[in-house]
Amino acid sequence: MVHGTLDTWVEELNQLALAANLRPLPTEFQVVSDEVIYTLSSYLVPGRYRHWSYGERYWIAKQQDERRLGRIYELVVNGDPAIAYLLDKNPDAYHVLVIGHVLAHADFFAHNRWLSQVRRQNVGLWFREHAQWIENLHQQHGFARASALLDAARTLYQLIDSHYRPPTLERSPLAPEPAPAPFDWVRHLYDEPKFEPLEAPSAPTYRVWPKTRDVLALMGDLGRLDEDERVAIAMLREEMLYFRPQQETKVMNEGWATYWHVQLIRHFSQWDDQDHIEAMRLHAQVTQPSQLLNPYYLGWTLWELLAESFGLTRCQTMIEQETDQSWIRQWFSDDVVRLGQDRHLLPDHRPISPDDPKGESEYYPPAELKEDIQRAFVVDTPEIIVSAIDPDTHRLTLSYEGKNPLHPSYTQDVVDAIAFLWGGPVSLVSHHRTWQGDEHAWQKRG
Amino acid sequence: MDLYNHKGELDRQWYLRKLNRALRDSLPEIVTHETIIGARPNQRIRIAVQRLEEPHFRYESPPSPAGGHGQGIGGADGGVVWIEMTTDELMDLWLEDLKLPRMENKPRGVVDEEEDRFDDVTRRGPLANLDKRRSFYAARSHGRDYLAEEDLRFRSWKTHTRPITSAVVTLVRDASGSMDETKRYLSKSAAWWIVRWIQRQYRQCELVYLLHTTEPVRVEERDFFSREITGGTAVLSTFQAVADLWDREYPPSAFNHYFLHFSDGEIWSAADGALQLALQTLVNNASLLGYFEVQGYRSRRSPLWKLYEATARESTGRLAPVRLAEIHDREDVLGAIRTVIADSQPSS
Repeated sequence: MVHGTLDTWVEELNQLALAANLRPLPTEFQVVSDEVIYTLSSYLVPGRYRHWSYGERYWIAKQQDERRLGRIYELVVNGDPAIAYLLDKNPDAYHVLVIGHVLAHADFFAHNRWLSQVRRQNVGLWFREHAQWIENLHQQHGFARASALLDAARTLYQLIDSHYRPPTLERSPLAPEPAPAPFDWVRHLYDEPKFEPLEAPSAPTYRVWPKTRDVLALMGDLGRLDEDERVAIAMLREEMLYFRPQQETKVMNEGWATYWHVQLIRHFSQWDDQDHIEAMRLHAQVTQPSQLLNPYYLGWTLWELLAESFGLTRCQTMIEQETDQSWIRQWFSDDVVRLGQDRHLLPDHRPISPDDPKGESEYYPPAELKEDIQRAFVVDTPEIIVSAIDPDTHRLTLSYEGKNPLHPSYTQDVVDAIAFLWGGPVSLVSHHRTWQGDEHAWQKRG
Repeated sequence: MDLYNHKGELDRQWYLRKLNRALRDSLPEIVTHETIIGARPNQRIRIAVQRLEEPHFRYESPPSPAGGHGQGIGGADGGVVWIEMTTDELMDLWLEDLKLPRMENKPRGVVDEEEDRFDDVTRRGPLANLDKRRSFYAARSHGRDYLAEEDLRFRSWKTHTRPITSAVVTLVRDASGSMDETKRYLSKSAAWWIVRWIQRQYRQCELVYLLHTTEPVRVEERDFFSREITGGTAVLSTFQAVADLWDREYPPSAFNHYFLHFSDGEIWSAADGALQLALQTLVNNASLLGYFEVQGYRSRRSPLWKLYEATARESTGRLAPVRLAEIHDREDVLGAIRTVIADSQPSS
C-alpha cells in the first residue's frame, strides 16, 4: 500500500515538480475503467469523430490487454487544463509513477513551442463539435458519400501546412493581336466600324503561391464540394494540425516524462519500500532496451546523457525549441554517444552480420551508431507540391520533384482520393511516371 | 459522459465489416488452404488477412533505417491480421446464396421438418416480446386508457411442420492412376466444400459417395476423402452403377437426383454408344449432372469433357441439367462450384 490518497499523491508530486523547476500546465486527473481507456487511446481525445481505423486500434488495444501482451497505463490530452486519464485497475504504486509521468508531459506541453501553439482551449468541446458535424454529414449526405469523403481527407494527413495561402484568382490579359501587316487596312476598308472594348480582354487564371503543399486545404477551398463538406474538411485539417506536433515530438516528450517520473518518485515520501520497487518494475517494463528505438527508452537515455553533459537548464531550452528531428541532429553528438556507451546505456557492440543477431559481434564506433539512430529520425514523407490549377477545365496538377520513386499503387490510391475531393481531372507528375486520378475508383473502394 | 458511450465498440464493428469484405475478396485463395480442408465444422481456423490500410504518399523503397544492424529498428509487422473463424462462418460468406438447382417437389418424398414461427399470442412472456398494439386494444376493450397487468399480450411462437423435399446427391471421384497428388487434392477440396455446404443447407439430403477406377466402389464419407486406389479409368460401369443405385434405393418419385463427377477426363474412348446411352439415362433421371474436370488437357478437350458436352447439347431446352467446370488451379475451386451449382446460371 502506498500511504495517502490520490489527492495527496498528486499534491506532493506537484510540489516536487515545482521544486525541480518544472512548470506543468494545470492538470485534471480522471480515473477511468479499461473500456474507456481503450477508447481514449484509440481516438486520442475524448469525443472525437468516429472512424473504422479507430475501431481497429480499439480492437487491438483490447485484445492486447486481454492476452496480457501490454496495457495502456495512461493517456494525456494536450489541453488547457491538460486532462490525464488513469486506469482504475492499476495498483496504487503504478498510479504514483503515472502521475509523475503525466506531470512531466504537462510541463513539456506547456513549454514546447510547437505544442503550445495548437488550439488547446476547450479541447474536449471542439473535438466533440467536429464529431457532431461529421455525424450530421453522414445522416444528410448518406453513409457512403460521407465515409468516402472522410477516408479521402484522411489520406492527405501529410499534406497540411499551417502557413497555407489559398491560390488567388487573377485575370491575365489575352495574348495581344498580331501587329497589322503593311496593307491590312485595305481589307478592312469597308467593314462596319468596330468599337474598342473598354477593358482589355482577359482570361481567369489561378496564381498558385510557390511551394503550396497543403492539398487538403486546397480541396476545402476549391474542390467541388458541398458547403457542409467544406466545413468538415476544415475540421479534419484542424485536427491534423493539432496532432502533428505531438507526432513530431514523441521521443522527446516520452523521454522527458520518463526521465522525470524516475526523478520525482525517488523523492516521493509516501512509499512503502515494496511499492517503490513495484513502481520501478513498471518503469523497467516500459523502457525495455531490447528495441533501441523504443521511444521511452531512447528518449529517456538521451535526456539522462544530455542532462549530465549540459545541465538541466540547457535541456529546458531544448524543450522549448526543438522537435525530435532537430533535437537528435543537433544535440546527439559523438561525445554524448560515447558517454552513453561508457555508461552501457547505448550498445557498444554490434553483430557482424545483421542476419544473425546472436552471432559474432564487433565494436560499434560512436559515429556510426549516431548516424544509424539519426537516420531513423529522418522524415520520409515525399514532398508533393501544387504546381498548376486551370480554372476553365478545373484541372489540378501536382508535382513531385524528389529522386526516390513513389510507391505506384499507394500513390494511385491517394491521387484517386484527391480526384474524388477535387471533382475534376487530377494528375501527379514525377520524374518516374505520371498518375491520373480516378474518382470512381475511390468511391468503389467503399 | 461521451457523445457515444461505446463508440469504440461500434467502430470496431465497422472495421470488422470492412475486414469481412476484404476477406470475401481473398476467399479463392483461402478456401483451398490445407488447414481448412478437413477441418471439423466447429473447429476454429486462423486465417491471415491483409491489413486494411489507409493509403498515403510513400516511397517505393523506404530508406532502410539504421542499416539493419540487428538492433530491432523498425519492427516489421507484416501487415497481416489474424482472424479466427469456423468453416461454417467462412461458408456463410460465399455459399449462402446458393441453392440446389431444379429441386422439384416429389409426391412421395415429402419429409416433415419442424419450424418455429412467431405467430401466436400469450398473456405471459418476456417484456421484450410485448405486443404493444394488442395490449392497447385489450386495454381499450376494458375501457382503460392505461395498461393494466391483465392487458399485456406477448408475441409467442408455435411449432409448425414444413414439408420439404428430399434429394440424393451422388459424388463420384476418379481415383485412378492418372490422378496425381495435385489433382486429387483439388478434386477433394472441391468435393469437401460441396459436402460441407449440403450438410449445412439441406439437412435431409442423402449423400452417396463413390470412387471409381474401372469399377465403381461405394464408400463412406471418410474413405471418400482419404482412400486411394489405382488402376485404369472407365466410366461406363460407374454410370450404370449409379443408375442402378438410383433405381433401387432412391426412386425418382421420391427423390431429386444430383450427380457430381470429379475426374481429369482421361478415359480410353468416348465414342462408345453404350457410354452415351448410359449417360443419357442418368440425364433423364437427374435434376443436375455436374462435371468437374481437374487439370484436364490444356490445349484440347478431354474425351470425357467431350462426352458430357455432347450430352449437354442434346439436353439444352431442359433447363440445362448438365453443367461443366474446369479446375486448373486452387483459385478456380470456388468459381467451379458456383458454375455447377448456382441456380440461375446457364451451363457453359
